[in-house]
Amino acid sequence: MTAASNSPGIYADSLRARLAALRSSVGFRAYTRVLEHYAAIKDLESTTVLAADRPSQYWQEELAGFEYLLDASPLVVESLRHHSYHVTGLRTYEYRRNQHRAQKRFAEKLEALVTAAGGSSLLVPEHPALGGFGHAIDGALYNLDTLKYFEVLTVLERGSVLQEFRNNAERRLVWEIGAGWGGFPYQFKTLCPNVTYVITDLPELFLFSATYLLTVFPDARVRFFGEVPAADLFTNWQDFDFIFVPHKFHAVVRPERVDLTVNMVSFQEMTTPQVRGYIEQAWAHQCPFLYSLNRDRSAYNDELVSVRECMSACFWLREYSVLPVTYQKMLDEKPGPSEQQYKHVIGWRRVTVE
Amino acid sequence: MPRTVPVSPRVILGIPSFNHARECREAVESLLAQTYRDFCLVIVDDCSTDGTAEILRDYAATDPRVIYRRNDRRLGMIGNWRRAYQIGLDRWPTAEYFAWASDHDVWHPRWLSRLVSELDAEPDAVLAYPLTSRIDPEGRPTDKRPWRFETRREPSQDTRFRLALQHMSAGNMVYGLTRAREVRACGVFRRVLVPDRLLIMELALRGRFVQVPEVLWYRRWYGNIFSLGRQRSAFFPEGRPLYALVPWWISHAGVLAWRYAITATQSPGISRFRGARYAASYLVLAGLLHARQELKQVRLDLQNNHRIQQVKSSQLAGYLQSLQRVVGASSRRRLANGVVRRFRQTTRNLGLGAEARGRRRHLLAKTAKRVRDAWHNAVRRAYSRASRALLAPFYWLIEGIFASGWLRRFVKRHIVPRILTKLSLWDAPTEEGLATRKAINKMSRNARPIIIGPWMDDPALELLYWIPFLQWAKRYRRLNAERLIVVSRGGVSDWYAGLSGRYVELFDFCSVEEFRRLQGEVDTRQRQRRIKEFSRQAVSMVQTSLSIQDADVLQPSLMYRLFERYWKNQASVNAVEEYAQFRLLPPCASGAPPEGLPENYVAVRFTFTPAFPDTPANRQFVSALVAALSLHTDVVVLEPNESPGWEGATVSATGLARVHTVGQSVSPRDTLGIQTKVIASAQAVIGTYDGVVHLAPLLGVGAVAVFSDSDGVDLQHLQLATRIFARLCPGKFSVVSSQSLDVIRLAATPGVTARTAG
Repeated sequence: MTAASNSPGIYADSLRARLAALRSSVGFRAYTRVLEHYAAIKDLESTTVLAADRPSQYWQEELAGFEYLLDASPLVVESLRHHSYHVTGLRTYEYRRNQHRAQKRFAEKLEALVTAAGGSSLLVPEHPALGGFGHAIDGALYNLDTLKYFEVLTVLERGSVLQEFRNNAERRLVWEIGAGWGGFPYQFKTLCPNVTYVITDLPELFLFSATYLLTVFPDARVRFFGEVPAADLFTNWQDFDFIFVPHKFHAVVRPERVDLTVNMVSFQEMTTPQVRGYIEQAWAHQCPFLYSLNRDRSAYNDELVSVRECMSACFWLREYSVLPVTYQKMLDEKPGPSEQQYKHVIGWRRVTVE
Repeated sequence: MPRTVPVSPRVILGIPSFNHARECREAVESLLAQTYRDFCLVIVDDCSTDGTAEILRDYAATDPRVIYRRNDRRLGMIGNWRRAYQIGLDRWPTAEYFAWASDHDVWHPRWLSRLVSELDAEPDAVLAYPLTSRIDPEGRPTDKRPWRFETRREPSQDTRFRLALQHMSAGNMVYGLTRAREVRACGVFRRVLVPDRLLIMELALRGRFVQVPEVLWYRRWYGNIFSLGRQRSAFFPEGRPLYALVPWWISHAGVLAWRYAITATQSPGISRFRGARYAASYLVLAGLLHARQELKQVRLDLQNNHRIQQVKSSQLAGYLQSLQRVVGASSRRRLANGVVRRFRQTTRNLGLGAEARGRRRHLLAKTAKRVRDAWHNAVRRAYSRASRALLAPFYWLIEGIFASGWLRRFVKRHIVPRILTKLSLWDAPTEEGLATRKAINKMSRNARPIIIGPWMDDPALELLYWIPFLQWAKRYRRLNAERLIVVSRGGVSDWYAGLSGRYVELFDFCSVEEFRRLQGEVDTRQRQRRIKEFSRQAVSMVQTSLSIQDADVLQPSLMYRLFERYWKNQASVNAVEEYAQFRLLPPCASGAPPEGLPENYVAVRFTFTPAFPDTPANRQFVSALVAALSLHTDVVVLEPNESPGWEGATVSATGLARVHTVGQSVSPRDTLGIQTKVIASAQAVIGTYDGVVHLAPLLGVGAVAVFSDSDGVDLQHLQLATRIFARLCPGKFSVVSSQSLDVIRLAATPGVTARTAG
């Protein structure tokens, strides 16, 4: 009886202690900081007259699905990566230790990728922070996103783009449109520290990406849209590691330079004017390279003509492939119809827009 | 971002273009989009007929970095490549780097940036190129792996030469970034078959090759369309010369022998003997490589067609036997026979088991490997023996030529120049050049006085061509100044000071009216005939007056013939510079300007010429300019009179307090002499772009030359003037359009004038 009466108290105490510890953790502090900026951005959105740029129906439903993150407990933030399936579709149970067959197939694909890339110098494993998950291979965690980003980096190197950002004394600026949960910025910044990474996304997704990046790079210098007037957002941009710009405001900011524009798996979900708007903005910023990993058009997206067509108006396109299968499939899976496959495309800026 | 044309770009990219309308847009844009921006693009269109010209013209119209030129007639591939280089380097002689680019390939935006940084980092490197990826005509990448080769760590000339010969891929390397002066020293693109290979070999002697380990160039591949027949028709559209029938490795070896063993000009530390050794090595090794290439092609054909059973084994035996004949290696016969036996055996096996496709492929690959190995061994072993056998007679020949002074001179002067006249536009002397040298050689062999002239033409030609030509001629054969008697007009003895011992004034022998009649003759033939006759009479009178019995005559016609190709835009400015020595004129002997002129002034001389026609606007422009100048400084207007060299209608600008005039009462025999003194004492000169304005920079005085109608400006003369003045007196010669009123106004302000004068 005594034990029974004592145990809830002990558990509650230990839970309180754990929560208290988590509240002072790097991850939770990052989360609260991002939350404040998120609120400020939403205030700005509501008070600023902007062109109608509402998220698509798909994204409105998705955003509703993780609205709970606006009031997340330290325990949720501690495993934030587990909740990023809203963005990326990967779930932790697919990477549990009992999934031997899946792990074997995964390891085969990883090996094939390393062979195709000519080494593992660009391979950045999943960071364990905030509940990072994946198959444990050679003491590191790898999931499908890890491999996707490795493939992207390989293509960027093969296309002689990445070299411009690695070991370069002059600081470069990378602009990613739709960074999701922040996995690619983490990998890119790990390999190329001397870059300023600008992320344009739905402000709700900053709860994932900004929290994650501020956790894995606790010393990173970060600026959010709204902290300073829009005209000054890119003043002294070299002094910042990450700059977060909500998608509704992307047209009002004017970076001094953009060296690479990146989009993965989101152009295909947008409307033609949205895609054209982003691409023309990259062109107007004199960005020499545009990287895209997209289907030409999602099967259910009737509002988009073709990603390739939109891009080719401003950029000369070159297509690259690393493996015979697309990033979301294992080696033994059959590739789908070619028009439905994800394609690595690097665009070189055209002199004139067609 | 607005694009501006660099005043003096570090890099020039030359695109020789011909009929690639479909791909040229992407090619040009990929170059214009380079992240390295300090470059200019020279596009030379070799009379395209498929719309290429219109596309390229658009780029030239919208981007100031692009220069577009269209040839008057088809020059062929070599001519077009040379012209692209020539136009670029003539316009920007200080450019450090040069690269040819095609009108159908694609360049990565970082291509130029990486290559420039490589050459900047490696001072000994002469050529930088990236890894290359082949793309098909639709732009899709092919599976061909990038080719790798560099001599970055090879300080030895011998090693670089050998490695380049064995491993080069000339078609890839020739599109790399080069040091512009080294390309010129290597004859740019010689008029031989496979000229890219020869250029790479010569570059290998001059420095190292560096390869950037990134794929930065996407070469469009239309299949293996290389053939010597195609080269002959593409390179020589007006008919192939006889030497194009000579196998390319022999003609290459001949060029190397001529350049490095016989003339030995601009050889980078190569002795004549070593040059001969290189030529001989090239002859042997390149010949063997060519033979190997031919056999390799046969093997590839066999493999690709999968028809090995139908090919007679005797065919291969025939190839191998011909190889034996070439290398003369009887001991190789056993090896070759062994290969043939195995080949026959294999074909029999294939015939028996034709249904087993896997076995067939295996045997096929095995056979191919055996043939390849056997061939490699045969070549490797044959090389040492063949080179010994082939090189010996060549060495004897070279030694024979070197041993006999008479033979050496004969070959050098009479045989080789005539054979190689068309081999290189810049290196081999032209017929006119040979005639000029011959004439001067002849004069140098005696001690007779040489009468130079009489010069009766425009002062610009006299200053830009005639006097520099005489200075070259004097230095070429070390002619004694005391022997030289210059005949000219207008009291220009100061111009020839230091050049000749005596100056004779032409107006001492003829009247101004007679001179004017000669110059005013409209019928060109009639004029030429009369001038010729007049010249002969003038020379005769000079001889009589100076009591000279016998004298040589160096007439301006010799120079006219020599430089005519340049004036007709058929040769580069190098054709002039080779026969001219440019230098500033000596300080005026008489020193002080005419009496009555202020101490500090700006000289103004406006005459109406085709470049500055007599229009109300031009008259108003001159008046306004003189008035504006007089607000800040004294102005000396060189007024017209009836004297030759002073003619033209200057707009009168007298009546202003600080404006002085010179010229109306000057006698004909002193006109140019007085102008020279006025200009030499001026702070600056402003005037029409014509003959006398060239005088100012040669006297060390800043000049602003004005024109209003660009059609009246002779671009060839302007090009030469700009080039030599930039070298002799940088910043002291500016040619501006009168429409650029702001610029003129700026030039007329005291501060700017002082800077110009200083």
